[in-house]
Amino acid sequence: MRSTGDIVTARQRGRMLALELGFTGGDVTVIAAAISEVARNIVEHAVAGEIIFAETQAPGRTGLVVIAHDEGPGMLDAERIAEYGRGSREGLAVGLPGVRLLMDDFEIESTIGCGTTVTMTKWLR
Amino acid sequence: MAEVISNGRAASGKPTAREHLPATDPLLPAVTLTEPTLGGLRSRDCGAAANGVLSASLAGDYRAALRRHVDVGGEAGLQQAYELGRRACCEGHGVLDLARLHQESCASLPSIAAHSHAHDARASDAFLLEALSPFEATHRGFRRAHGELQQSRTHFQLLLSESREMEETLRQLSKRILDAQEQERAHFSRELHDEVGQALNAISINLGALSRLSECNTAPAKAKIDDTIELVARTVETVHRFARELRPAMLDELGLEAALRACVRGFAERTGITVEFHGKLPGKLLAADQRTVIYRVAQESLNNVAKHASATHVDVILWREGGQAILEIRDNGRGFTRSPRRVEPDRQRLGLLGMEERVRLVNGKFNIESRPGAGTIVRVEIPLRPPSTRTPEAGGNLPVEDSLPTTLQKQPIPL
Repeated sequence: MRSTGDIVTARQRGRMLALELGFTGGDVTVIAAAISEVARNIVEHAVAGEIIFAETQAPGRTGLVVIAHDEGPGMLDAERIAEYGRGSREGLAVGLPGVRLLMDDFEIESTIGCGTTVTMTKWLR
Repeated sequence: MAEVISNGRAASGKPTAREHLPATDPLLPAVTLTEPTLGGLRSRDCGAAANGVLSASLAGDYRAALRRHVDVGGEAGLQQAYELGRRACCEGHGVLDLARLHQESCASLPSIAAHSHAHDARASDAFLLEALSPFEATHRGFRRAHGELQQSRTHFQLLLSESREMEETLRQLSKRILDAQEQERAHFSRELHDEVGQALNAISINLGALSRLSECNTAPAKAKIDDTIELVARTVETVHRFARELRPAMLDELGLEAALRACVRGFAERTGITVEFHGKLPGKLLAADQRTVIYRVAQESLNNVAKHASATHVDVILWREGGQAILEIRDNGRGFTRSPRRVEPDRQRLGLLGMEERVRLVNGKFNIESRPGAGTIVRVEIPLRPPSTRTPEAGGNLPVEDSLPTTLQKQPIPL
């Protein structure tokens, strides 16, 4: 992940896997939106990063997991920043708080100077 | 730290809106919703957004991107749709604004307007879906916040009702303590008066008889006996005074005014401070517990005057004003500035708290007004109860007196 063009690629990969796994309608759009948010974070704040897509299995269900990792500046108190109504400087629920609301599972790990990893999952309904 | 989730605008080095926000309390997640975030500020600054009118640049960008997407297709167009929706959302526009923008943009695309190309229509629909997804996130956020608000509302209501229950329990408790105290005082008062007082009287009579016996008819014996009679008489006085202070029989037997008069007289004799009592309240208007409150406040206030005020004159005034009985104790002492509750030692504080508590228990108001050099006014207002709720007590009242000096007529409203 280096440029805005890569955001498009990431969305495309994510969308393809989502459709392959059987996601439909709004869920595919929601997954693409979440990818857009984590991807634009990487492009804007980290020099480079990567986004990994994978199928995940849990008892009785299948999901799409997206791992967005960068070696950017990192942030303090990432958990709090990604919480709805707290970190978002733009108000409403865009940014990481929005991603958290759109996806089913959401985890963030960040260390100052080492970078940030967001792991998020959408489960097939 | 927050830059990561922003879109780079914060890197300008200017203070961001968030930095001006007060620290948020993690216990009140809903509060932050109402605080001006940058998104909210932007939408307010931008008059167009407030009217639901989209800026020309956003509308133009949307039309151009949609046209390109319909022509070229692909993920790049959808990503742009997402970004445009995000922009609209952050600028404070609503879902319908975006839907209308989409509708107008479609109308400007001939192939869609004419329904001539199914593919174009599908592409355009997909574009709209992507553009709407930021609104979906916002919508879910509001829904969740609403749920949290409801929860905290329920929680606070529960806390409130619990604290009301606790307050009521405390009230009952202090009422019981004060009632028990009054009963105990009355008991001690009777014991002192009846047992000790009677015994002393008997001793006095015996001494009188003793002095008349021939065996004792020597000068030294007589002098000793007379001394002892004198001592017993003084002790009787002291015992009666203690009994009166503990619980004046008069309060129960002769009524509030008589008891207050006796209290005031005793105080003046003991301290040398001039006290005037102006009573203009028919005792029958007050219930027994209210009479006790008024008596105890007057007693405690007079004690405070003697201890702290360096006063030479005190007025104790009792009157009726509308549906209330008012008691004021005004002294010409040195007064004080700060609330005595904060500066005085504990014992004094306890006295004031005790008075306040008693007054509170009969739903009254307690107030102290004081300025250095201007004396102190203790004022109590007690709402009179309708006769049915009053406990009838025989012989508890004095006839109305009409002895208010003219100088005081202005404050008390005559009956």
